[in-house]
Amino acid sequence: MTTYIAKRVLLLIPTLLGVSVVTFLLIHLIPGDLVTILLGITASQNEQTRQALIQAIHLDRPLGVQYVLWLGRVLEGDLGHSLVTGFSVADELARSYPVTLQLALMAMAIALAVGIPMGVLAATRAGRTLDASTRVFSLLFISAPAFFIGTIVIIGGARYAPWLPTLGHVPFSESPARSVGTMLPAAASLGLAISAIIARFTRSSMLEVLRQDYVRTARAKGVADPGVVYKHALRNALIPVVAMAGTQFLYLIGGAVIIEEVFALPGMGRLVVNAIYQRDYTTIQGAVLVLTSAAVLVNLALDLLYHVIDRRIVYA
Amino acid sequence: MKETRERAIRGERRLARRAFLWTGGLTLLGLAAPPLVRPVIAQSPKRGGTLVVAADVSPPGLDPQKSAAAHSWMVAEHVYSNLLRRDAQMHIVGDLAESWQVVNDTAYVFRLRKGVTWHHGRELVAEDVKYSFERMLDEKTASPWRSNWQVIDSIETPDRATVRFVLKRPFAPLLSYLATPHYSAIVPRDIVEKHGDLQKTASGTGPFALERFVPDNTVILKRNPGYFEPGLPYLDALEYRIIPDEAARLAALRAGTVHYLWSVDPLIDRQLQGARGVVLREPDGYCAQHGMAFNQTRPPFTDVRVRRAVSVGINRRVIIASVLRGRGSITTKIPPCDAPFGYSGDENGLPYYANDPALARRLLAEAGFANGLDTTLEVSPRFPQTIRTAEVMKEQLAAAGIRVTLKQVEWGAALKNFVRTEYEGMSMIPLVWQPDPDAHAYDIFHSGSNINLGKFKDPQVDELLERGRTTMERDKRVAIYRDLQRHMADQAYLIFPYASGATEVLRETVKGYLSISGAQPGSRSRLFFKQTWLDR
Repeated sequence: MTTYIAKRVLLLIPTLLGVSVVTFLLIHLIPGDLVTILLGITASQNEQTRQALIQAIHLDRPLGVQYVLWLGRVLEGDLGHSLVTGFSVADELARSYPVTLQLALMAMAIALAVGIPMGVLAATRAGRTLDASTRVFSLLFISAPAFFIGTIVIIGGARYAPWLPTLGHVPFSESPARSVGTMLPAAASLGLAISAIIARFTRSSMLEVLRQDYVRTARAKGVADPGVVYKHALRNALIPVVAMAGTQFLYLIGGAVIIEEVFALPGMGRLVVNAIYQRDYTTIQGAVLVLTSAAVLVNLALDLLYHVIDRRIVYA
Repeated sequence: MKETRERAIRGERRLARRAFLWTGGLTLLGLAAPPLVRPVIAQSPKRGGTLVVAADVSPPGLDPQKSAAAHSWMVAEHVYSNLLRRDAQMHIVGDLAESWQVVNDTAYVFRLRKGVTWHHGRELVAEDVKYSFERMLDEKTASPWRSNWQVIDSIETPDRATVRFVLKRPFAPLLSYLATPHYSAIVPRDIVEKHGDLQKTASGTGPFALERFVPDNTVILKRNPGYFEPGLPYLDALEYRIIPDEAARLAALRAGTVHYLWSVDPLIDRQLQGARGVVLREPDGYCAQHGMAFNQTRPPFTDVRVRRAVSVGINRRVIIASVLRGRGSITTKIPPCDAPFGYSGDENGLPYYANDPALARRLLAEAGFANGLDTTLEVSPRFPQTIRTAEVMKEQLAAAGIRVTLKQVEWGAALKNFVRTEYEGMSMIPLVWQPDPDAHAYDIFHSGSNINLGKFKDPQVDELLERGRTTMERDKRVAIYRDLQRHMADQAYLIFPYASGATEVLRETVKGYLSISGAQPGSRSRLFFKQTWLDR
């Protein structure tokens, strides 16, 4: 098992190299250029000013050379500076990634806390009113995009509860309570949408498991209903749910761009999207390294989680 | 030597229009719209409080000499001072300069105020002024403003309070540029050298000092108690909260957590219907234009008749009424707010400006397009107003026999294509206000410029541009730019569908607020928060 984990972690190196080469090429394929965006139309684009800028940020070198220069610095532990703002890329990532992670974890916690019980209840009361009402809830949150719910939350909050903090961001390190409080509306908007999907998954998975022979045996043995449902059935029903929730989580740690925009959270999604708009190569490259590592590690954690849920799943 | 109280760009705005905007403008806003502010200062200002501004975009760095972004200036203009500044009537007055003299066409002497200190405590000296301009001229700084100052031959500092500029040739826009915050902010050498640049740090001589800058989140400025204008500013602090989503900004304003925002949405008053304690402020003048360029490196737009057909094919008045809901005006590249240089009449005052589809068809037929013409118009969805404008123009041009295909292109690419004339037929983007007619026109009209929009070459245009730049007498300069605007309209080298402005929205508690017209798309050229106060 340890060798397996070590192998998976080591695989990170070729993955990161591959991804960085591909992003580097992709960024340079996008039409539009950094220099024009940087100088804007206000700055009279006098050729000397252009050339000075191009040389200052090494855009005059061939692509391969630019990549090797960048890689060399990264290997020395220097992610470089943003071409647009001159900010240290490492600082920018250290500032924005915790926001995204916190949002992802809070949203996922809400999604699981709401979705799984709802799915279980719907399955055990299949065809009854409660089942129907969870279906309405799910349909509503699956079809309404998170940014729509978010906007409604913000507008409703401003109108009926102006004292509620719905906008802005307090870093977790500054005040954990206020940080969680201000992020709650955003996390709920994201989390409820995912909880709807989780509830549907849990319901169908539960229904299937509840029909299995071993559940009937358990009931025949005289195990009380909650024990059957939560101890015997739920554990097995969770595997597909975890797989699905895992993919959702992978999306979340990549940065929920739209929710970050709506709730004015200074997260990774906004950092990356702005960097792409501005062709800020160094920031994009740095962000991609972090995001790829996070994705690989989360994937690994998920695989290990299967083992925790079902001991029969073993990796060698 | 002639003592100058030079008022180079005197904003002789017609009183009639202002009065209309202040009072009668209400009718433009629909019925239940919040009332407009009137510039009546009856109460005496109160000290204290934090004014919160909702900004849509985070400043991409705070260095006024490195960033060309309006969202950097909105902060920098409250932190830094310039030698000169404009007052609310657009007159040029002293800022750090106590007085100044025009020795001759190429020599200017400025006397600095005494006892001005930087936010970090050191006294401002003439050497700081010299350093600021030399930093922009240094290629290594890669300043977007470098070309503005290449006319400077040398800067001398005979003593600690005197700065003498010597120019290579007469340069009419000089004082105007010196009064433009982002072009000529005075920065401290010691702080620049300590941090490498001023992108994340700041120390100026302005009314507010930087307290905290968290990108994508907030910029907090605190009151500079040592500001050289006694008693100012009234506020304890100024906070820019970055809220990208417009609905969220408006909600925060309704809830009272922010005090000020601006919007380019012409429907803003409807969105704020029923909001209590909120006031809308109309722009004092229309300054931000849209510009459409033709690719004139190949047919059909090399033919003046085809360009004229487009110019008379569109109906500027209808575009203003529909896209801007009336809040805009006919313009050339020099907008009406730049009185007396800007054009400020209706569409009948310039050649080929009035809508005439029949004439358009005739011109097309003469140019060999009797069956009409197919072409493309490139626009970026980054600016919804541009798309709406293009859609209306497409309909209008169809009636004139010009079939336009709209091509939506991502902003970075659209900007590059526009600036370098790398689009197929036509391309349109929002253009920004510039502090002088020369800054408006020279680089984008001159045949020798590599950002000539559309790549047209016209010796007559070049000659007017050179004369406008070197003619010091104002009345003569006005006449030159009037000729230029008329000639540009006659040749239809570029199409300017309208000039527009941004609406400002404030909480009722915000008092003493003024801003100078000269809008960037979405923001103002200079906000006046230093004499703003909160009536709490």
